[in-house]
Amino acid sequence: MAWVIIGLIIIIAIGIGIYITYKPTATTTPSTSPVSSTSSPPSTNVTITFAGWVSSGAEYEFDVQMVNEFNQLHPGIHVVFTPITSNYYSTLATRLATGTGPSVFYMENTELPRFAAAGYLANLSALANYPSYNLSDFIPNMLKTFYYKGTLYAVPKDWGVLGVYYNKKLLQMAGLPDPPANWNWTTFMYYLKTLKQKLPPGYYPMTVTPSWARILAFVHEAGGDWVNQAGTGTPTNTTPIYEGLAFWYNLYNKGYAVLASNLSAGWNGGDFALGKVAMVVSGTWTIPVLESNSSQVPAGEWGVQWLPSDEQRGTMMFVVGLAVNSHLSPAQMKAAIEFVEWFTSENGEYMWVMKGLALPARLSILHNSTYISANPAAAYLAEQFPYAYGWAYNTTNWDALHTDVHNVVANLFSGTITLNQAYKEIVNDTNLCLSGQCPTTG
Amino acid sequence: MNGKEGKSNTTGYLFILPAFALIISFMLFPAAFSLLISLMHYDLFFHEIYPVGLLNYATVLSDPLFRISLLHALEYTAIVVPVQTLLAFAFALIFNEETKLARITRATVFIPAVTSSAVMSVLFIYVFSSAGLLNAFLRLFGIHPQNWLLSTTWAFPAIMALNIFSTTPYFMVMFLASLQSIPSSIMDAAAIDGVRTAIQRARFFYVPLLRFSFFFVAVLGIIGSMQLFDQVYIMTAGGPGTSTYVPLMYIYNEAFIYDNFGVAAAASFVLFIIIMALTITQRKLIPEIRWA
Amino acid sequence: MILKSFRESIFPHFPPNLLPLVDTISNYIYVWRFGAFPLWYLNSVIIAITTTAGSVFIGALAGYAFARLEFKGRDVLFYIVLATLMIPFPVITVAEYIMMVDIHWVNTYQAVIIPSMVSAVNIFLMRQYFTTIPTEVEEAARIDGLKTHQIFLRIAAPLAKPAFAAAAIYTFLSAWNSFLWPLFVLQTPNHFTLPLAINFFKGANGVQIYWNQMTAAEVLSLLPTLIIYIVFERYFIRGIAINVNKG
Repeated sequence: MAWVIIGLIIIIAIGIGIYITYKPTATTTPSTSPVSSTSSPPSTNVTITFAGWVSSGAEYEFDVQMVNEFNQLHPGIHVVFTPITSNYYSTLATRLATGTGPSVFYMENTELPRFAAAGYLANLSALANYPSYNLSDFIPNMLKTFYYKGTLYAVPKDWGVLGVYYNKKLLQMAGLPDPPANWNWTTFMYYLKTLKQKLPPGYYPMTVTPSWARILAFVHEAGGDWVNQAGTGTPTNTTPIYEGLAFWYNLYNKGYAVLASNLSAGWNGGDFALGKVAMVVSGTWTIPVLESNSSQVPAGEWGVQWLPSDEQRGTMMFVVGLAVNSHLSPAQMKAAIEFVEWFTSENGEYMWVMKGLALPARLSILHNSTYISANPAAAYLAEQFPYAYGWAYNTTNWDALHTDVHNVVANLFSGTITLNQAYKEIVNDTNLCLSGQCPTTG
Repeated sequence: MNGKEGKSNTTGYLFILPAFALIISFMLFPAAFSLLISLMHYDLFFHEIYPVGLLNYATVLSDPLFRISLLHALEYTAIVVPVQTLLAFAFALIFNEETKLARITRATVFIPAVTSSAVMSVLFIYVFSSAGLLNAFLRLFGIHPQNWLLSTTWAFPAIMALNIFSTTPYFMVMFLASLQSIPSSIMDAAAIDGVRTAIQRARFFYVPLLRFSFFFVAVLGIIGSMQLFDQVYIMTAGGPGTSTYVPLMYIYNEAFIYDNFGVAAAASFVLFIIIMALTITQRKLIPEIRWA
Repeated sequence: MILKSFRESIFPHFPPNLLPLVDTISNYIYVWRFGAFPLWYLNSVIIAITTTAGSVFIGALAGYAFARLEFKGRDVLFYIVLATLMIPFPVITVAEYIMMVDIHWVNTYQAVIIPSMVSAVNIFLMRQYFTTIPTEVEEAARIDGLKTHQIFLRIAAPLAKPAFAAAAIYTFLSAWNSFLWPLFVLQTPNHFTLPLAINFFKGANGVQIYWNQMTAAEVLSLLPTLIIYIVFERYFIRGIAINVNKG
């Protein structure tokens, strides 16, 4: 008897499952893929999918809202949002490689060469044909990073930039004024030394993470670069790499900064928001955290400043763009480009950046007074853009390269290797990886 | 194991038919496909697919990194499996009562097993950090606080501890279930015969009668431990240095970072054979262990 | 911190920074109203229940066969079952995904349910348990003329309730927390399961985690499995359950 019941439950459950799969709602995936496009979408002509990662609940809701609005404004097109919630690039790559990829998707300039070289990205020069789109409105050194071999494969959607956050109260405790915009490494170290002396126990001058992405800013400030123009290896002069690495590592090694994982948030921005850290280097994504309810640093008690300079000014920018799947039918391609155009147009981008979660890639918005007064800290940090270096290295071997260097830095911070060894390994491995022979150091 | 004769051949096959239909379709086919892949240079992304014979296997077997990862897996298995098996057994014995306290304790103890390993790992990154809970606890004993995951000596033991903590309750369930199959009449008779202490009960009754559960827990323990991945991936990525590097990290990296599916597949099969060998060996050893 | 200390109840914990209760509850409300959270919850429930029911039943059949029935190649076949557990996941997941693409099962519920309806762990568990049941009753039944499937349904299975309970717990747990496969296969948000949805509370740059929301979501997520555990465990704690000597 019990078995009959269990059997019935199985049948009913399967029934419900099948019903939900096949019931007529807009939950289909597009006909780009050999996916069973099971239910009939509402009477529209073209269906496309849009995928991205979701860096926050707010971003998810925004993307859903944008998709709905676009669908209403464009009755001939139906966009389905298919976010990839984890392992973005490997999942995206598997889907694209098996023909089940999304039509429009987030793409960063680190991965762009690889996807473009494999032929998955569509040429977006058609965007220039939209009169109000205005490609030249994009920050020039940013748009440049989305070209590969002369063709435009993605357009910027938003970006984040590194800056220094400082806690005014803690700085005052140490008798320090707000840092000036033209401060340099010497001033920076002076601030840290003073903070270390004067802050009471339980408060830290700074936190750091063993991240190559932060060290790079300092490499640039030291007047150099990590990878040469052609993307074939390190530049001839690799001293700036050493200087940047040494500077960041010594902050930790000489006791001025503790590891971010020591505090309960586990990352620089989060730890700063706990109110126990005087300064951190973090990105503009920390601003919403500082403005949220859970921040222990009230408004007015924190400020932002540009990164200190050395030989020159430098900072890192992390740009996210939108790309289009090259394996689409002509109708889908047209629809996809419509969507990208709409999403990254002045209007679309304005709506997104006014949420304060990311920076605008368009100069017109960046210099728009409404935007600036609504997001003063973000707008100020964004003005570093002429000195900002994109996370773009013209290589199809990005994952391996970055993982390798990241591990070297992690080893350095955990004390398994010395600074000199780390430096040599980074230079060596970079040259090897960029010529296709990454050592598999795990 | 008693069986029946004659026409139970067909009955036997019928009984296993649903299971095997699914196994063949969804596990053996992909496995065969993977075996094929291991003989090829398989880059699905760039569509560079061509056979390379046993080259992948040669690469894998001569790679010192793979060998280190195997050593770590064996080390890990050798320590974690006995500990979690014994602990699970002990917990099952201790908590095998119907009292409210026992129920609550069991449910609480079971929580780590129920939480997804991803979330546990992220949580424990903090627990093991310099300002984390573990150090707070150890400070009571005067032990100097340090960041356990950044130490080449302690990162691996930390991960071992985390896993023992979360899989012991999982296996406790199995022991609890099989403790039920021991009729109370036997235990009563034994008590009359003079078997009074817990240790005697354990030695003469529980362990021998439960040996099938021991086998289950030990085998699954071995299979699971050799395939350790989630915690290492999230907490240490194989570091610091290579102190927590395990075979699944190697396979994962080869597959998803270096795009070397062929090599990943070859490494997968080498690992598979090793696990299979371990399981068969263990099967031969267990029946012979008498707790006397 | 309350939530963390809830988790570490075995570790002695030190007076945590007690958040005001209101704050904590608002996190739960936020999570529940986020996106399609109730739908994701429901998806997880349906998928987990279906998978569990199917897998336990199929596993019991196979386990009984391996334990009690004799047929050619039984041991080899059993090792094949065990072997399926020994194949590392990365390559096989991609291979399976490619298969799903070919049979048009991408983004469907059946892709997540049906392959998981066979569980080597269950078969193994059932086999081990059935071996420990004394055979006298079964032999008596056979003498009485019962067919094998009747013996299974009426005699062996009821005696194996603890094993069924354990198997149910294990399968539910595994189906509920299953992450990588749904990540590959389930593409539109309406199909998402909870483990996928919990990632919405983790920053994409891999660093930033919205702790409050994530822990709230995780607590909500572990409730069903905990409930299943509590419900099913009474099948193996109910004193000594077996009446071997019933006539």
